[in-house]
Amino acid sequence: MLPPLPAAIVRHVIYPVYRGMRSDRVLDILDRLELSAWRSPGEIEDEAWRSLAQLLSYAAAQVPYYRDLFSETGIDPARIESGRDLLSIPLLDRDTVRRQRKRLVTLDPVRRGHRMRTRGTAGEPLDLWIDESDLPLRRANILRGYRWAGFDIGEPVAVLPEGGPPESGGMGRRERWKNRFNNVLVLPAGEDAEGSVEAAARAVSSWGPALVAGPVVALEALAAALGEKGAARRLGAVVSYGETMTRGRRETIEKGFGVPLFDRYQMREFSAIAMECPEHRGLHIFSDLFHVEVLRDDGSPAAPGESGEIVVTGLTGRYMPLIRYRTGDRAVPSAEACPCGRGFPLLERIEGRRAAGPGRKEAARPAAGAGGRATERLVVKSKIHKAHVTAGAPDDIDCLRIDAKLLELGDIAACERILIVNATNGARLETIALEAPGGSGTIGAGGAVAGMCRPGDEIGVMAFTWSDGSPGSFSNILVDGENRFVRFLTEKAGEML
Amino acid sequence: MKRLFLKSMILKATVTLADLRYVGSITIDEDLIERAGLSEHENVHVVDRTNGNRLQTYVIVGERGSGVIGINGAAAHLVSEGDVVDIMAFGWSAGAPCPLIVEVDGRNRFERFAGEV
Repeated sequence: MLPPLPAAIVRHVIYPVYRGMRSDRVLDILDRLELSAWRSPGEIEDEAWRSLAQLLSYAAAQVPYYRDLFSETGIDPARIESGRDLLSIPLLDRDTVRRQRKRLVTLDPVRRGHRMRTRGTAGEPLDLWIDESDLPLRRANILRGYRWAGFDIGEPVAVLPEGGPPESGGMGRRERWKNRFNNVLVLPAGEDAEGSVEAAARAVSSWGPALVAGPVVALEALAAALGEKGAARRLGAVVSYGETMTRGRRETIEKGFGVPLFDRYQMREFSAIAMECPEHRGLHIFSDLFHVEVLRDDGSPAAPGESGEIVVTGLTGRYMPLIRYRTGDRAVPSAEACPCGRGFPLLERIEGRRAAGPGRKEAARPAAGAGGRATERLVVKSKIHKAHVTAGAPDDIDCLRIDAKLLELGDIAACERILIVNATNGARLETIALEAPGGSGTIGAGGAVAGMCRPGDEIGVMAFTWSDGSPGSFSNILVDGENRFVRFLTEKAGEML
Repeated sequence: MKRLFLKSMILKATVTLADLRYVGSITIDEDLIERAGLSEHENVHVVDRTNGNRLQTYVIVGERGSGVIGINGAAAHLVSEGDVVDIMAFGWSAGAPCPLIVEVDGRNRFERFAGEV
């Protein structure tokens, strides 16, 4: 593998020339976006309302879906002046977008659209149009976020690709050269590629990126694979996205890479919507580009500290405007002003993401029916596959002592209730998980558990959580004969290990 | 006060496959999952009418229309191919119970929703 080019050459020569060739003004836009974050919250809010008002009048005049919606519901976009007024506009869900796709597209002939397909998290991808003029804006916004993480243009960045089929049938020669000259390394990934995590870990250690970006779960696996090797000296930060960030995952990633983690909230429909700053007090909403609401189940705004669904309006899109789009994700808004000085409001945390990745999938929505209504259901959230009992301690309290590293990767807490299934003798029982030293490979049966699970038995360990039907995450891990982490699993019907 | 209610039930399904070597849980025909209001990864209790064994596990999605009811992994010690099982899921609710109870034929095709219990 060729080493990265000197950052200064890429930053001052190659990158500006490349952007100049494309004449997309990404660098100018980046400049504008950078400054925009440092305005006062009041200024930012005023500006966002102006953009929102323009978007609403445009949609009413040029987009058949909104024209009809506003006239049927008696909404006058000119009279929407506050968050409360905005609540009168009906929410837009994915099914409506799917059904009304043509009527959501502008009649304005000046606008150019770029076709985009969202990842099919529940098996059904969503076809969308985004403005061609938004493409450089999206790029610049990602760069703005990278700069928050202390990374600058030209420095080498390693990217873990997202799961799922590539959009354009893999990476061509041209793409590889482009990446090479821009100091971008696309790491090997894909859960099916044997040893790809190890290959990615070797690449990170030897190539020496200043930043690694990738989906949460892939980063977690990579962090575990880096192990004692650690990342290269030059690495300054890790940027994550995709699945829900938990404390355990953050610790694994930060420990594995040895640098701070910056979580980013994004979706294909809009690109990056919010991201952490160096204070890590939550995620700043890019409110110069998006109007973000967090709503209770009854549609009213959630108070700071209260969980609700994230509803997004893209302020710049005109070709296919998405106004009050239901993301299906959940977050907790914050009223705090961030000491970093950026004026963008904070989300305290993102609670559940719809995003799919290796080892987790959007739970299929139940058919509308009694079984799914106003009921909390129990769903599996953690599983350790093919663990082997290493010791039995009948005098210990009733528990299963598990290597702390596996607890972390499997997202199981100490004292959490677990279901053990014994593949050797068929026994099934419930007890609690307790922590054994990380890296020891211990799976110790304590108390009465020792009677049903003997040293050498192969067992599975599961933990469940209550869910309101919105998709959660599933940490599903496979371990080897010594109880060391091998990889995350996506279970499919009829799959053998 | 919330109570734990029966939420979903598939009655008298026939196990089409029980294999210790397969990964996981219980594979259910996606059509039955939807009709019973279950979701992927949801916790279910499987009670075996043939041998009296009872176990809990979680759902993975099987091919729609295939009629598959597959018991995978360690649970295959307790349930065998050809056994007749009921599959139940529970949920917390403050309201009245309104379970979706699905009856299937001998090939695990949806027949009807059972009436109120």
